[in-house]
Amino acid sequence: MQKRVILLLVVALVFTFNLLSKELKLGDEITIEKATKVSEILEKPAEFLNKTVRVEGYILDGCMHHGTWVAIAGDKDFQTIMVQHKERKLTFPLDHRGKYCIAEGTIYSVHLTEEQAIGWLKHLEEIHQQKPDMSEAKGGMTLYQISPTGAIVKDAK
Amino acid sequence: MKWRKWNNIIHRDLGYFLVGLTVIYAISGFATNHLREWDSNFIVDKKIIQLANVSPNMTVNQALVDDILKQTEESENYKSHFRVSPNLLQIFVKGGIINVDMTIAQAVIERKKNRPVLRELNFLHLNHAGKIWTWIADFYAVGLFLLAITGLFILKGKNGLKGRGKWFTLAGILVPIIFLLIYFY
Repeated sequence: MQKRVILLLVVALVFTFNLLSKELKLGDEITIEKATKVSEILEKPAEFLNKTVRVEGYILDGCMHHGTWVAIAGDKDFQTIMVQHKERKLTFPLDHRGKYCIAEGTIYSVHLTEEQAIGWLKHLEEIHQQKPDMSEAKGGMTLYQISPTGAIVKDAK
Repeated sequence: MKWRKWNNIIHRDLGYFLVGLTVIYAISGFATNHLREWDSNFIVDKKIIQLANVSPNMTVNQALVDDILKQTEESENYKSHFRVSPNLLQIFVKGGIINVDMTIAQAVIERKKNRPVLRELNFLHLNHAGKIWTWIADFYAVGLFLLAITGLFILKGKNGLKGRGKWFTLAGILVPIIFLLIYFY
């Protein structure tokens, strides 16, 4: 009985310390040491398609219901990249806004139909409070995102 | 009949065992059903400050950021900043974000803290824990199913399934079907 109580206490302590930890590790270990700039990926996305990269940045936005995606600020103004596991196998904590994220994963493309692209631009208008160029939606849009295998979320860089 | 005795035992004991989980899922279910109107996970504290020396389309540099931090009294909490769009600047500070709308020279300092109890209930209900909790949640789902089925056969006679029970059961099945027909198909 005493051994079970001690074991329970140890488990509770470990759980508590995990909650109090300032750094949250998600998924697999991050193995790539050098981060690729978001600007490089967005300027030449075809070169990075299906390649595994590491990106870092502060989290601007994300799914507030299930944490299935986050948008990371890039190294240049106005540029962000979305980190979303293709099969939603990796989710982020809901209090992710303003935290620093390191993510390692594969670049993939998502093609939006014209209707979906309009919806996406209207969503961006809500976040950015700036009217987007809706002509970008004509014929559809291709977004480049990262499907993460591992991520670290922490308070600051 | 022996089967009814076992039916009632299962319903009773499973019912007692699942009370705790049912309360969790019921409260969290109600809260998350209204996520569009109300954030049941976090209490968001917003402080609005009108800024001086900020105008639309101005150059964003560290000096401007430092000035905004001084005006909002957040200089000691600065982490980083990012220009989301020509007139929207986000400054990351410890424990929060400052959203600066340069068109109206306004800073909104947003800080979130966990809503006590509800955050924990939602964490369990929405399976943010994953791993072993997934198995427990699956067990609860099976348990609820068993409670529903065994509940049909608790009573006999005019108050049982063959009596008034069949009308209530039918009504309960028709409600989701009607909504699906209206909103889904």
